[in-house]
Amino acid sequence: MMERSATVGKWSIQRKLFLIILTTLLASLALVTIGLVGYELSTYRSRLTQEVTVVGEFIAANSAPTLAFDDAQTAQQTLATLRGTQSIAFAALYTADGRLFASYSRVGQEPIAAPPRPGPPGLKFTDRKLELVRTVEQKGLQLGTLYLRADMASVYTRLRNYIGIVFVVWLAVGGGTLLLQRLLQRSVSEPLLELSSMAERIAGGDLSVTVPVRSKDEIGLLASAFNRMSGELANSYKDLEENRARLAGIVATAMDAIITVDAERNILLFNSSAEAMFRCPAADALGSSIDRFIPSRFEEAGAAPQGALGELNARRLDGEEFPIEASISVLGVEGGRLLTVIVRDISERKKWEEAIQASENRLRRAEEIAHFGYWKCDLDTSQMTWSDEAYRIHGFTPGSFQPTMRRYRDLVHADDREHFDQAMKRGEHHNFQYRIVRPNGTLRYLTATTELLSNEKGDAVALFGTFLDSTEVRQAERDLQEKNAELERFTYSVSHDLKSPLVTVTTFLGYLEQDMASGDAVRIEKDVHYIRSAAEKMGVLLDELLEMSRIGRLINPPVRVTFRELIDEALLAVAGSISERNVEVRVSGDTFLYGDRPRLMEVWQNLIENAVKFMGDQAAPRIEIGFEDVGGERIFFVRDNGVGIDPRYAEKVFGLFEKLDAKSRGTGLGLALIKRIVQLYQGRIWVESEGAGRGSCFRFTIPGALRGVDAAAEEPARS
Amino acid sequence: MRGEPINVLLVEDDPAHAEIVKRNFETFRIANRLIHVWDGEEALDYLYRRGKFSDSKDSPRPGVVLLDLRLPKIDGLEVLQTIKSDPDLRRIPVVILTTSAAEADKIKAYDSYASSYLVKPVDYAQFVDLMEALGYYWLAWNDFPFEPEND
Repeated sequence: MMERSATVGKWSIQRKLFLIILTTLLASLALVTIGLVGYELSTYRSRLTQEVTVVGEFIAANSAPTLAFDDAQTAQQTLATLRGTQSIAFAALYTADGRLFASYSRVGQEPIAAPPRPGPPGLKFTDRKLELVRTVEQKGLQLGTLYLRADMASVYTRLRNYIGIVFVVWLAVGGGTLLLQRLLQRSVSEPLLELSSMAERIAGGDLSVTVPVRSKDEIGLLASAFNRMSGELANSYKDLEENRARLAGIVATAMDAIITVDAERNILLFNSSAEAMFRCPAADALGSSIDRFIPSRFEEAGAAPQGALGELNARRLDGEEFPIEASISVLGVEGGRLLTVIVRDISERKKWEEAIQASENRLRRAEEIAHFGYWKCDLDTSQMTWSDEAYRIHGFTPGSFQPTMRRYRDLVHADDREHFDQAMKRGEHHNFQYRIVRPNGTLRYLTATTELLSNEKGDAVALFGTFLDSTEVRQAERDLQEKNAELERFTYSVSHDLKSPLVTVTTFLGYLEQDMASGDAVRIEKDVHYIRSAAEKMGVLLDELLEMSRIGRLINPPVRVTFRELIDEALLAVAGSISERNVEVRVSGDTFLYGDRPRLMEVWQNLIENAVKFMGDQAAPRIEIGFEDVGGERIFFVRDNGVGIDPRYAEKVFGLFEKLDAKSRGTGLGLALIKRIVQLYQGRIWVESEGAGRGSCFRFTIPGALRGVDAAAEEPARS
Repeated sequence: MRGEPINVLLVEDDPAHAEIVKRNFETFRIANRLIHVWDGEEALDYLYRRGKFSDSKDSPRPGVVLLDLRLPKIDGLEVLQTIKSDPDLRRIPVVILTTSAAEADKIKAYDSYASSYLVKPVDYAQFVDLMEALGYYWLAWNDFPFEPEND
């Protein structure tokens, strides 16, 4: 069945149409023929009967005269008119007595013997013939009998004619159809052919064809639809072509490497950037495995869905490894998957990242080391951004709070706020200073600079600045200033106190000259005395100055010594004055000390000297030397019952060159010297006195000389 | 030129220097009385007639004060300032007589209304000349308002 329809399917429309028409026509003709024939056959009997009856009647009527007149010839002629009918095969006329009068036979008819006697009148169908017998009458008088015999011959003839006609018609139809085909061709199959050949051309790739639309029927619709379709196709194809070209352009010019691989990871596409990146020509790369270039991790990624792969290591053709960033997209195609990998060489970027990171680290470290922070303040929002060190400088952990200009003002020391506000208003400011108070209450000095940042239009958008914690510097500056001031005081004092004795010397030399000239011995002695004492004073002064300058450096290596040892030495040095003044000395306690022995000894020596010197009128001069532990400190003391010190001047006593008694010997350096020594041992010294005549008690601490010695634990044996 | 001798208060801590001034005053017979005190405290005690100078007979009001700058107990500058801020004492001219030639000292002295600033010369002859001139200027030429206590 299939085969047959396949074969039929191959026939052209032309042929199919032709056959359809032909078959239709012929079929209908056949049907008509059959109909007619059938009708004929089915009605011939009645028709024949009718015909014969009518003819009989007619012939009878016509033959009546002939019989009446016994005109056999005319009767013969009358019967001969039956020639006109096909169906009457034989006719015979009988007289009334039954004798054959006339007869007729159809031309070509096989002679039929006339029945000798006519039968009874009536019709009789026998065996395909019809016999009619009727009377011939005239005015009611039977004259004779008519016998007619009809047969199928006419029918057959008729039928034969029909068939002949049909046959002819069939031929005509066939021919006509052939002619008709021409018309058909023009209006149906030609356009269809045209259409189909256009389709062929389009299929072959030629999209420029359009089919002329010549009619408004289905073919016309088909043609215009066809045109539309081919137009659409042409557009789609153009778009496709454009996309393809664009894609190819992108792939070719992309700065990133684009590699497409199949499911087995063989390279199908290797763009020019890939060639450059991996230093491998495409011809070499195509067909090989991508593992050459992007080893190992790619395997896992290959199984994963598409997306960014992050950072990997890739390998150039020569084996050099370099860092890349890659992303994969997956495309399912017939027969498998295509993976497209886009690769970017990030070695440059990584280098820059590292450099930036290193630079940032250096900056951060530099910030930390220099106690330097930077900040930025957005002028619109008053929001500030601080660097880590900026937070630390202000006593906060980095990022612990969001700084704003207002909150910052609160950090500024109250006294400096106005100054700060002005600087901020001004915008640009170099090195203005202010104090801040850290959350823990400590004060820091800051040196800040600011700069205005503007946008392209020139409007100020932000303030950018740096803080420098200059507290230490300030402190150092202050210390330096103090030292300088002290140096100045010192120099001033020195020049003054050296100049004084010098004036004495020169002046009294002058007097001496005079007095020697006048021979005034008393005056001479006085002059010489003044000169000598002035010179001595200068000597002592210079010695003590040298001592003072040395105090800054404890030049002797520290040794361990007992308190008693030092006291004994000091008492020995002042022994003369002590015995002269008859001073009682009481010493109590003992402890270990560790430090510069001569310096430490000097402390007690000076104190004892002073104590003796300022005994005044004291009848029972007494000096007490010892130490007490008070409030966790070991406090040494030297107490005397001498002239005492006016409490108003208790502080001054330790000043450089300060002497409370002008007449006393000494340069006024002693106590300043001691104070220096005590300070070098991180201690302090002060004097307590209730006033004139009430004695005085010098107290001091030297914690630095007690370190290195477990003073509390060890008590040297008392002598 | 006045003829009446006046009292001079010398405030000087160095005995040798005091001796020099005394000798010069004797030589030039300048003053009626040269009162010598040894430090700033004594100087003020004298001027206010307190302490050991409570007896006014022993402590006549000076016509001029010779003041050294570096003094024990109370500094010379402080003495000067005290005198010049006291309505009772400020008319007394105060002449600074000191070894210090320091600019700062001069400024401070004049700022505190010192009447004159003299630097003790290192040269004997000059010192003598100075003393003489000092005597003549201040005690002979310079005029003072009448003070009833001035003896």
